[in-house]
Amino acid sequence: MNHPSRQLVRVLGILLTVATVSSCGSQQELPAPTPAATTTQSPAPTTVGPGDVQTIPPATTPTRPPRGAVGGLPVDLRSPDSVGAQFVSLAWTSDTVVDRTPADAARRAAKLATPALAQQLRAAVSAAAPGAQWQTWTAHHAYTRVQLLPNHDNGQPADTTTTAVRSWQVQVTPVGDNGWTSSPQTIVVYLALTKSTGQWAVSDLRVGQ
Amino acid sequence: MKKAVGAGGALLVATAGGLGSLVLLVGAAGGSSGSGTTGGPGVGAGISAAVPAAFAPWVGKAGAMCPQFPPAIIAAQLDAESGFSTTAVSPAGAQGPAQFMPGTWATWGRDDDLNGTVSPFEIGDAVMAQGRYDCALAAQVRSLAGDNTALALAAYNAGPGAVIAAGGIPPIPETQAYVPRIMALAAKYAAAPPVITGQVPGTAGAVIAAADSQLRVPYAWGGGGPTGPSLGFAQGAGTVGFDCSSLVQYAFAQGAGLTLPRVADAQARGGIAITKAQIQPGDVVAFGSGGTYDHVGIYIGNGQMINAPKTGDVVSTTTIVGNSYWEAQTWAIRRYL
Repeated sequence: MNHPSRQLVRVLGILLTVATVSSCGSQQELPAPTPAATTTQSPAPTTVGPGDVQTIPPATTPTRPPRGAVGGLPVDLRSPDSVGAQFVSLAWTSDTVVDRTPADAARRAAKLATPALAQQLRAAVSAAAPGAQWQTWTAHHAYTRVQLLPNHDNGQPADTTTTAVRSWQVQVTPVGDNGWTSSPQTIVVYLALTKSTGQWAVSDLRVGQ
Repeated sequence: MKKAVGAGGALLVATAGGLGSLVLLVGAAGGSSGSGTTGGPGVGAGISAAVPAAFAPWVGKAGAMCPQFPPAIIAAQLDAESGFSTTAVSPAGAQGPAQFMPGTWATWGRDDDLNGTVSPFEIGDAVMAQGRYDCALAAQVRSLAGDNTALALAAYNAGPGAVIAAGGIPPIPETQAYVPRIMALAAKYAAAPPVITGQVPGTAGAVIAAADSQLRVPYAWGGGGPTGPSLGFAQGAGTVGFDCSSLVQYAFAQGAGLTLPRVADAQARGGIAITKAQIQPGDVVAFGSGGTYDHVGIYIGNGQMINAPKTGDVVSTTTIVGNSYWEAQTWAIRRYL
């Protein structure tokens, strides 16, 4: 998918970006835009090739453990309630001082997932920036506190000896320097769990608003 | 007392462009059709005044590129990415209102505002590049079952490779949370809400009519929401429907423009507490024991409620007053209207 015209456009785009950034303090030194700069652009692709998206890599190994509830709850691997609650708590406890994106928190929860889901969580990369909310949290060196409220629904599927489903309403509150905080974010998380060799693990998840 | 709205009661849905179209588009989330679905007629028509003025013309233009990404969703993404900031730079290096990483911008950026420069910090260039990128992602995941917009949003967050490999929205918390967040934000930027009226005058009648319109839709645990039925989760993963609380959410969103909490226990604690003697059509009625509530429906009069009962069942009406099963439980009656 990385045909020459795309690479030419990419190089041109990078050059133009560099020129734009360098213009901040020395506008008069910039060469005037030439017609070639805009007319040599090929049409944007209509599909997304492997080189058309720059992803954000995981955070490097932190020098200290993340703050929040990470590792704070004892886990009973024989209980789907315990495993599920700790998984959700870990997956949504982010620390902007050590995490690059929320995906880093999900990687910490992978230890309570089935091998297949754990592989997906550990391999996940962010193709988009974590967004305005994350930037605000980062500016305040914030981490998140997670509160779980069980979401019981008497119509939900019943447990079997090897499968279970659980759901929680999850309230995520950022806590920053000097007591800074912001409005909590509320989501609903649904988990599927499976039991193997006597221990429960999370096999799938869904998030609702 | 006469039942407020019976099965097949008249339901008028008047859409005024934007959100009406969005409802059609989002309502299919979860993939009822089995192949890439797109928005209904009129998608791309409306933008609300909540979109900053400098962005509005570009959001409208980018939102006309493909039906999967109407202006309301383009605006919702800009809100989530940068809060419409033209100077935003993330610690990871993402730039501008659409928060393009430099390598991604190199492919999708163009001089759309024709000022001689191509910059992720310029509103026109950034928003149009976002539109192109979104539509290309939608094309990339079109062959997958499920709502094409939801899948493309997932691809935006996790990359198209992750979505294709998972055969749907991958089970990654960040991505799972991103899709409903954008869908919810989009309601703020759509032009006008749908107007639903029923046989019973007033807002309570509209709420009941909205719920009534979903009679016989299957129960799907974890499925459904304010915009309509969607695929459930786990054993409900193959079923497009509602669970008990999402049906109530849907009825109040469509009939009254109200956003209720997602879960039954929280719905049982909002609004105003009402006694059994005061119950009226349109009240939320929840049931439980031990201090928590695990079922919820909407009272429709004549001692009945409309509800999504359980796995294997469908949205239906049932008698609760004088019924030994329901009477044995703890009731919470809440008035939101």
